[in-house]
Amino acid sequence: MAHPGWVSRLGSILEGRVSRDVQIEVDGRRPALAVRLRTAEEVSRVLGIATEEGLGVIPLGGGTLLHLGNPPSRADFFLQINGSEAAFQHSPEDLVATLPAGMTVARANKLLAAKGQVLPVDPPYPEKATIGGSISSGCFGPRRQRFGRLRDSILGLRVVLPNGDITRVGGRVVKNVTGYDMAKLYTGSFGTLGIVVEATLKLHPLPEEVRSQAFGFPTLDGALRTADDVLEGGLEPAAMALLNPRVSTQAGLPGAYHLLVEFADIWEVVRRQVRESEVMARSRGGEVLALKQEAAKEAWTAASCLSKEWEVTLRCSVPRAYLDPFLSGALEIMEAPEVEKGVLAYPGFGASFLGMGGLDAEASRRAFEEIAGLAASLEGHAILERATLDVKSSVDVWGPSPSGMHLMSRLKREFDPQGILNPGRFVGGL
Amino acid sequence: MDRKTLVKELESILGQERVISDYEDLLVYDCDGLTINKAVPDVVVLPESTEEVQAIVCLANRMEVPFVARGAGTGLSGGALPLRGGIVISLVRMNRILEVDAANRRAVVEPGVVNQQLSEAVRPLGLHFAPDPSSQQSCTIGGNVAENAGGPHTLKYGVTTNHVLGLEVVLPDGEVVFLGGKAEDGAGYDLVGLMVGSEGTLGIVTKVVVRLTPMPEALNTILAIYDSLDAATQTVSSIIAGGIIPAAVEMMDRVTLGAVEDYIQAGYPRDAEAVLLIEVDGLREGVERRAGTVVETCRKMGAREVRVARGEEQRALLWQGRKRAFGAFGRISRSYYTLDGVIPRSKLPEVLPKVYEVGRRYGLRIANVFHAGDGNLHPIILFDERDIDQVRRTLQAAGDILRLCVEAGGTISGEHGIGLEKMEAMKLVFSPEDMESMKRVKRAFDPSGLCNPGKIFPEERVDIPFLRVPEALRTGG
Repeated sequence: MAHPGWVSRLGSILEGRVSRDVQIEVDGRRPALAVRLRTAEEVSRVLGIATEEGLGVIPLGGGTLLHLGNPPSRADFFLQINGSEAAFQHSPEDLVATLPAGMTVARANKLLAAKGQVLPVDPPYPEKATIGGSISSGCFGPRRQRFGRLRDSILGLRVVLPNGDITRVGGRVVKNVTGYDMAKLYTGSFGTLGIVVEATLKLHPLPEEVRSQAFGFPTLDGALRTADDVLEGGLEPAAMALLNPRVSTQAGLPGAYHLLVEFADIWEVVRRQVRESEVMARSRGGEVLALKQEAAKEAWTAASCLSKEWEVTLRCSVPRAYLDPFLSGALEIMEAPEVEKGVLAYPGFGASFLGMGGLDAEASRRAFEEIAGLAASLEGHAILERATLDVKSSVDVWGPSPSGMHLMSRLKREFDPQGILNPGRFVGGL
Repeated sequence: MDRKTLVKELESILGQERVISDYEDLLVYDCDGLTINKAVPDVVVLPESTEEVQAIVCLANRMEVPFVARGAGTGLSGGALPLRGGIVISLVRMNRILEVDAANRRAVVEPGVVNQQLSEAVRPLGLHFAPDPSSQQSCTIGGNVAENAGGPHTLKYGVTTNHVLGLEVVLPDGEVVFLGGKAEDGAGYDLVGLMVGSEGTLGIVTKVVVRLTPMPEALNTILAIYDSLDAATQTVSSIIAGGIIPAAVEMMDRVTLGAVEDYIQAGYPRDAEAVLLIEVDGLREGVERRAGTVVETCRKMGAREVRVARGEEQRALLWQGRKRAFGAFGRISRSYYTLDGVIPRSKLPEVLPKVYEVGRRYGLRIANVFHAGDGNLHPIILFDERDIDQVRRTLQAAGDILRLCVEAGGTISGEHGIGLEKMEAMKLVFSPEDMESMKRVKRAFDPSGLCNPGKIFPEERVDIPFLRVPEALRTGG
């Protein structure tokens, strides 16, 4: 088969830095090409060509979240950006860093740790997850408890638009109301409005002391109530995760419900919080596990996302006081013989990941729709993350269309009139 | 536009009592906190419900009349100025706290609720609304949302957008949408994040879902007194470089201290070159150690004296002195002009002396009282607006100072917004492509351009000096 003209066009402007040996797929589609770009100008020219030729561009960071989203309506090439360290800038006295989008989160943190600072970004698989991918997907982990939402830590971005414009938004300072807060628009926009090539973020100092606790409970209730006690009792955990028995065993813990808590601060504050949280856990029937450093590391890695073994996963968010009825209700919905259930929740901000195994496509779809309905009734939301193509093709994985959908469509049309970026993958098929 | 019909139609929606159309009454609304520029609206309305706001906006669309929302009118960039006439929609009567959900740490409020009143209402629950602008005794939540307001405690707690989870909005075409909600995450684009700080140009907010923050277990307020400006500015970075993020670090200079003490007697020393007002909060043990480190750092960096506030009364007085500082200038100068530039905090020692130098160059006194911790400067230029030459020099000095901030790696507005005031200065920071990307947002929300027109984006003309020049200056009258 002769290759289409656009392939040659891309090949010629990138001096042959295109790969036709594409090994990965996005929802069953394998793009013809993968391009790896070095500069914002290259991104600009490539997007310009894609717009002219009406192509489907699939931005690829570390490839850790390709399972998200609806199946694309087109997928012509993967677009990746190099994480050139020449573009890395760190101002430790300002607690600010500017990072190339292609740099991995782990690499960035290694460089920042040299001056005792850390990124407020906690994606799954940080050795692979890129800065740009983390921002565009809006992903998070348990340390969001300390860091807050990612969108609240972004000071500025450099974004290339589908028409080739290379734009800056925000700046490099922590107080900034100059123009619209465009960084909020791009964060979590799933690469559908533009390609982030550079990001400036607020940093945190590395804590003096870090201690992890694991409390085991026979019931979900005990774990949830302890989480409440910790938060209402004025303690300030740096991370908090709730695991059901199945996820606990995947984390190297015994097969019971567990509440994992991390305290990170000066040692007097950590010591006090460790002591008080143990009292709280015991009063709710919990057992305090002594976690050595290696075991703690393994537990937190498992608590950063559901394992890929789960056939179907959901990401849910409810106001945190409604997490109890939500999880209880979701577990009931998922209850069936031969069905594996996984729960990984972050009680501090009402987020949870649900895993299911052993369901056929129809049952998976039904479970998702019922859980999404439950979340909505609790003023929240549920998204289908991992599922077979069968299931994904029969639902909108992002759940019911959010309010303001028509505004989102208009924004999409303004920024990407030809619909080249991740076509069809985002909310409402944007 | 047929003004008579407009007024009649509005009266049929709201009744006569809540429609203001007499010229003398309209003059009250001809400016906000930016008093140097004025524009009189055609009519002012005072709705009391979302439905009424919607009806007003639909009427405005039918008659193709521009409209501008207004809160308490404390804004400092002319955001509430009806540049092209039309309707000023005052939200002050929509001032109810609709719901307080302590378990979820959320509240739902109408836009006219006063910032401080919200915090006071939830204080018995051990909660507060963290963004605390100096005008918080009068400014409204709706205004805070429009400008993404800051305040001294944003250093640790963040700005308004970090505390808004949901918005009910009357869009510029009259449709009502509810964006976001009580949960932390939703699906799709972050339209709530986009609306906060959009200065009333993308729609009118009629309900706000806010995040409430627990009061800290302990806090410590420290006053460090300096004979050297350089020592004071160096201290700021030193504290933060030491890994401590105080809840607030504010600076006041000699001119400010004199004005404040004349006005309030808050306990500040008149003879210091500068003071730092530093607050550390959190869990008790953390506050003890960190406050100790802060005191030590201040001394090490050359403070001549460091005082720790004893008790709530002393603390409250110190903060009153800081928060009423702008008002204090009214006693020592006929007029004053407040700037809002931001620089990286590490550049403070380098930039602050240059700000004073600009004042000397133009023969104007400049006072500095500002959020040193996050590099948000508030140079206050003191002048007399009856003297047109002083006005001219003031605006030129302001332009020079904004340029200084941008050259130092900062930007032109930290919390007051662009509005009318700094429109042309946007060119110092953004390229035409950058601004076009923002105009795409404006077009998506407001294709007809009726919603607070003439703000934020500079005109196509290139010959206008950097800050909006009042008509009087422009026409030479």
